[in-house]
Amino acid sequence: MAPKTTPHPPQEKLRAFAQGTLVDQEFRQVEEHLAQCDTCCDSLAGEPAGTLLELAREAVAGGLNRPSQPANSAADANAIPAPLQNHPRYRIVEKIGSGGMGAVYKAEHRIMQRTVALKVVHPWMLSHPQAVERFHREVRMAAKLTHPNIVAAYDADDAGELHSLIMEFVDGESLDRRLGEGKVVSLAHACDWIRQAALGLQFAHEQGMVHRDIKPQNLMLTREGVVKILDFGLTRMVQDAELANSPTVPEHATREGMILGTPDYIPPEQIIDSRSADTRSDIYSLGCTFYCLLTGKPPFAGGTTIDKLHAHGARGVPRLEPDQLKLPAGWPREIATQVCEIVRRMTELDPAQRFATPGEVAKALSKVLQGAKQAMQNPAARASVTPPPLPVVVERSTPAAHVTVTVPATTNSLTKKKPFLTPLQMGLGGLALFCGLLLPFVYQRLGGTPEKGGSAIADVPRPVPQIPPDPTKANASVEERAARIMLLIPSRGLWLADYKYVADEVQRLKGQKSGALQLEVVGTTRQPALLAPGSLQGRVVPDRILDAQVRASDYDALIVVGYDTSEFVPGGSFGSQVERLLQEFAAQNKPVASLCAGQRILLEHGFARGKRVATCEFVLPQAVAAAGANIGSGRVVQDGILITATADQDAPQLLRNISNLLQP
Amino acid sequence: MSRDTSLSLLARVSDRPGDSDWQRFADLYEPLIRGWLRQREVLYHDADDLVQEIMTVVIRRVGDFEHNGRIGAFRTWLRTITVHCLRDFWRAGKNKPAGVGGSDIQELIAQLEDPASEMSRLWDQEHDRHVMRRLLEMLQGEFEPKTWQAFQRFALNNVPAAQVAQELGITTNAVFIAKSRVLTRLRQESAGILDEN
Repeated sequence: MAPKTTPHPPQEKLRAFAQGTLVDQEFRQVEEHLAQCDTCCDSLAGEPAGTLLELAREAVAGGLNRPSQPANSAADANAIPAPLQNHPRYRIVEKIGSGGMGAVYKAEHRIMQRTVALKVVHPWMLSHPQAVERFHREVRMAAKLTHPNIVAAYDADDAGELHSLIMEFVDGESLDRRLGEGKVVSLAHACDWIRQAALGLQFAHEQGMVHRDIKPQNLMLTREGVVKILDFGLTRMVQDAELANSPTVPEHATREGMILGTPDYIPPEQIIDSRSADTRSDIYSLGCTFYCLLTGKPPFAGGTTIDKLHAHGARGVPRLEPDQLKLPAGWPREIATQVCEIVRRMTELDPAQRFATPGEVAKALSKVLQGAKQAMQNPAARASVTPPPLPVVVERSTPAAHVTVTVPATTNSLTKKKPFLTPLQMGLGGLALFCGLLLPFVYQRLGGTPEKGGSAIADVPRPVPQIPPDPTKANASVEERAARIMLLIPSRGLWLADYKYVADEVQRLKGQKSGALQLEVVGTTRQPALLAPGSLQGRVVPDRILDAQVRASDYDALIVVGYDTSEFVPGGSFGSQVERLLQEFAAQNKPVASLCAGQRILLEHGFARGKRVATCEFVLPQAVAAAGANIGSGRVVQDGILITATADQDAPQLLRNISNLLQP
Repeated sequence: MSRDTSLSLLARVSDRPGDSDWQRFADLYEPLIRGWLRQREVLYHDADDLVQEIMTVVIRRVGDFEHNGRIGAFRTWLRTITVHCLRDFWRAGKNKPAGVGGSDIQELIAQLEDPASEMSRLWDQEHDRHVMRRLLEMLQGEFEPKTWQAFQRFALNNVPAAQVAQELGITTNAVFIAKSRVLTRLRQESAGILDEN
């Protein structure tokens, strides 16, 4: 036993410590004692969990996505395979399901602490080296599909002999689970979910990809009501593994189930030759899924696999009649007719008779939902409530940043942050600010996901602008090199205009003879940044992840932005990285700048102590004073290497100040 | 930094809240309310408007909330505000053409108003689970990765302390301490909004 320095605390105190009810001095005393005393640790082990912890366990375990384990599943079926237990990069949290491809685990990256889903592919599927190569290729293809309605694939990973796919962890459940045996979902939900899936398929179609196995099991529904398509790019691999006729294929992986996708949802042309499948095949399968959501069963329920396959080709999907649909109260009857017509057009035997693209399906369903909404709303009766403005879509595309901007109709200026409230006007400080946070819901349409053609956000990865050498200068010396600007963005709560105005200005400067800048977006995740409420809509994916390898020496200047700065302030998950970076930039005498709410990061790190900063409506004067800084005059204030700007539209001036500082 | 972390989130938003307190409070409650509304077919189209209305009232009134000592006082308070907002919403829409979901909304309001109804029971459950889950996510960043992992493995996943210690290369004592640290912080932050039975 380790030497003790303090007497054993009484058992009640130990219990209080175990349940987290001790505070301050008492907590520290027991903590210090426990660090040394094995006896007390032993007695702690017997203490009951306490209700708070029980609630935590229940909350973590009782999520929607808890798979119901089959009654006969042996305990070892859920055991984590040895190579995974000691996975060098991922810590396996728990098994969350298993499918035709293999088992799926919830896992956490050991260093980045990002939660992911890790799908381990059955070893028999990758029994040939070519198959492994193929798997990696498929994952690379799938990883290109970054869209809100597609489950993101991040990486292929090999641990020992186990090959896995690392993908986005979706906090939700698949539609088949949501649906339950024989139940139907509401017409509004069914239309919206199919519409969202169609948007995902349209994006994949634009990238030249076909899913080939769309079914309720492959459509995940998040807690927020977003539908995400699962397993893109992997179906073909399953088929190839089957076609290789590997003798190691276990019996349960039936030929029907694997080669042909799923008999309930398979399009006739795919039965004949799976390679002939195109986007219209996915539309057919999505149509069968729609049918299932509306009626509670797939088109050819019952019967054998052979019967089903025959039925798809010979009989076609049965016509759905308006009377079969449960129309929500207040919905006009013609909606049911329209929905039946959409299902029919999705499931035509002849692909040429179907909708040509998933985007058309989404559009048709949007129309239905809009029609229902209009019918529900009596404008006269609702006059007292501000009706949500429909977004006006402004397409803006620059080579540097493909951003589509959706501007709420009531907002006159792109830079106007809070259309009907400002904190000072309201005199309510935090309350008004908070109301600002709530505004986006007014602008979000059903499901909150972008429409194809409308606000279809260009999902092209944003390339770092390459600065071509200026032919007019004979010797392009070091001074002519484009200065590298790091733009640090939050993973959630990004005010998109901050990014956009910087990127636009960098792009504009590209055409100039001097002052060329190169922008690199650094963030904390590979995911597109989640936008702040009320922000312009658009999509930004960081070029680089903030870690210890990101050094000030790689850049000429740093710009930080908000709106949400919690990750970057002291105590935030990346607070210490930011602190290190700020020290490096200061030591190397390179400009450090903030736009709008980003100023909080610099203030909280004490970086503005004794300096002048710009006013910003999201930084209280008290906060400036508390950080030892003073408010200067003008919208862009420069004090030494520190440059702060009031708001997003000041980005051009901010960049000019940076350029001036960088001039030799 | 002036933020006093020994005060619960509820205490902070009730008394001189900073931006980050509002943001955390909003992050905690807005998805809960929106998710709940969206699950009701009859409210589906209006969920986004309603979230705004409900959250505005919540924010305006949260400073006046006083815990009456009963278990679940805050979630009950939240449910009551939701009932009031739904009723206002229903009244505002009364002039609609006949049969436009009116009776469904009334039925919904009646159920939500009755503390003994199944809907209220689910409301409570959803509230506690959601708030707990989000708080855990929010607090994770405050701890060293190993502390958090020890808590997660030992306290949440029920893995024996000795095994967790071995996995993480720390002492068993440290595992117990990690668990208590996180629980203490969780209790502190959740005081007033999550009650123990």
